[in-house]
Amino acid sequence: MAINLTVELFGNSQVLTGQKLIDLQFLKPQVDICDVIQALGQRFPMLDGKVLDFGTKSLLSSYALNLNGVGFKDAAQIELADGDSILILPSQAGG
Amino acid sequence: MFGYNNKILIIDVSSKSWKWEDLEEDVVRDFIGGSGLGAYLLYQHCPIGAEPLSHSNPLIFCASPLVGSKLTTTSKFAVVSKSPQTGFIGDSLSSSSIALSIKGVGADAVVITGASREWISLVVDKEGVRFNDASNLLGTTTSATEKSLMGTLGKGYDTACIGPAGENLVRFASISNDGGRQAGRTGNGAVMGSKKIKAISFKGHKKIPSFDENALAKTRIDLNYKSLGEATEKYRTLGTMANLSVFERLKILPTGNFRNQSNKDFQNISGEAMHTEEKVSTSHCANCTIGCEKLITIPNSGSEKVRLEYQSLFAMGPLVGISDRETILKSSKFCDESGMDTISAGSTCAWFMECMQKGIIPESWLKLLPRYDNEEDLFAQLLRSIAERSGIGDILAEGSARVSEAIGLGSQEFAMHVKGLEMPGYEPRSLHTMALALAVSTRGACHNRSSAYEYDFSSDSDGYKQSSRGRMVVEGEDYSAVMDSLIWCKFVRRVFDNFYDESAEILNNITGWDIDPKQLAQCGERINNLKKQFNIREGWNRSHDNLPKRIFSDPLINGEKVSSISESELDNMIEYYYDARGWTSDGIIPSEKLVSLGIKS
Repeated sequence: MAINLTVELFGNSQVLTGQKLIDLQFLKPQVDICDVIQALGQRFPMLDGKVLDFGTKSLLSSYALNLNGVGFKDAAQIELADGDSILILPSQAGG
Repeated sequence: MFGYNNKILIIDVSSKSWKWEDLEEDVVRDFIGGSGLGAYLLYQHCPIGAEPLSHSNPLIFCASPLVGSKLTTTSKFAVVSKSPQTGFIGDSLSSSSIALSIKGVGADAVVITGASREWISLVVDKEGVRFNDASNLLGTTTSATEKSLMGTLGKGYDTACIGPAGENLVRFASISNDGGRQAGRTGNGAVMGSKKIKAISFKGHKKIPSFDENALAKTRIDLNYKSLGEATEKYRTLGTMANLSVFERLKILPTGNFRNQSNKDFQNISGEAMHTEEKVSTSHCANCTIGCEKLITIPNSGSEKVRLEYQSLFAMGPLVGISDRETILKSSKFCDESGMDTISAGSTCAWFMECMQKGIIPESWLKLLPRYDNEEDLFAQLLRSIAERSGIGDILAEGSARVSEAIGLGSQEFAMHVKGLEMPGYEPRSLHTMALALAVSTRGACHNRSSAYEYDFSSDSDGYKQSSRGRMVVEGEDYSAVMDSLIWCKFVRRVFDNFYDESAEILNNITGWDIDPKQLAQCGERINNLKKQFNIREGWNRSHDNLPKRIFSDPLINGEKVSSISESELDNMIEYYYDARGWTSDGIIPSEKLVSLGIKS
């Protein structure tokens, strides 16, 4: 069973990779944020230390997660399902 | 007293006289500096019921105890007066070298009273105050005025000035300083224009000793290091323009005068697109390590650059339904050079363009319209006519609140302002903590005096109760009041692990005081209560804390998702807010509350 996800990049993560949308496919029944970060790390090593921490498989505090453009989530709160879209966006809200 | 000059410079431009007054220590222990000290001085110097554009309304420039400390982001100052837009307190912040020069001439604050008969340029330096003829500067842009004065006065002078909009008493005129930075909101530029002051220049290098220079030196290094870390990443890379694509994706970017019916794609003007496709350079305020300022070279205009941040990008683009990059950049540049607040200028035009679409412009006004080729051209011409107060611009220069009252025909319901100050680019139908903050803010629809969006963008936001939002806005306002009085830039806020603890320690190391974090937090509460008390004195009533009708009547519909807020929901939150403040259900501050805060003896 495959799980297909979309990752949408905003802010410097988009500038660094030159990508707005990234499609990811996982050939396993359950996927969590760590899997997504690992997959991103393999494709876009330039994100390490600037957007993601590949060592801990987590986002840096300067970025936040949003699931499907609806709610802001901590990584632990997110349960991913086939077709989900994960937004990685700057966490500083001001301006 | 360490950290302060202990002096206020009082300038009367009617009599062309000036004097120094002592600044008492108990005043700054209560109100600190910046926005807080400005509120205190306004309360003292503004007569009850003063007409904002009359000689009796004081124009106040305030430095702060952190100015001169060389701590990152602290070269800031506040400008305070009774706002010609709201009729209530108007305070606005700006940054850079002039803050150092205000303090460098020996002043903690400068209070300007009266009104000159002829146009003047004030010069403050070691020789005192001079009242120079400014007739040769009339009609000049803000950058040309600064450049001209730099040539006339010589090196070392820092200037704050108004452009043609301030001269023409456009109610949302700004004050420009240090190469185009703006004290933008609440119309202080019009107050300066009403006094016929084209510019004020400061030159001074007086050093104010701090109580513990060694401790401050360590703090300086620590903050510099932290300010270059994750806590400020967005501001350092793309600047606040990064908000646009995020807000559009989350369906919280207000477009088309908050109708949000635009089919336009605003990705073309996102911070990411600008950064990738245009020539962008970074600029810093004095003593700032972050460098949030992004200067974009305007296409097809040689090497002309515009300083662009999210609110200007929003107000010159999506708010008026425009997605053409060149139009947005040129319009923003025009507002800066004319000395107009981009949010109020854009919002007033967006409201007027909707009136045109609805066909409710009085016939006599249609004759005043400029000729135009398309929507972009119309917008540019409206901005120009406002700054010049020519044709229809002479009417629109009064702002959307006043002009919608004049037109009537239901246009008041989509004039997007609170208390007369037009709304910034945050969508209150989706961001309910922000909705409350916009409604109750003492200076009108303001995003900067509460930072309430922080709560709406958190992972817990779905579960917030109305009562929680009331308390959060109180906390956000008090926190912001302390930041705006010390003064820190808001963009450094996440650098602190514990803001009140660290700021109290820094303030003590500068002043030699022994203020504790709770006392510092109470300063924030005191400042907000004083601002509110000023508004009550000037005629505030419960009906002023509200949002435009459109916010209640037109829900946002995006597919299956509907975002809305009802009047009763807002009313409930306002009640919780008043309760959390310790005010009556009508929003009045009880006498005992004023006494407990030391505002009333």
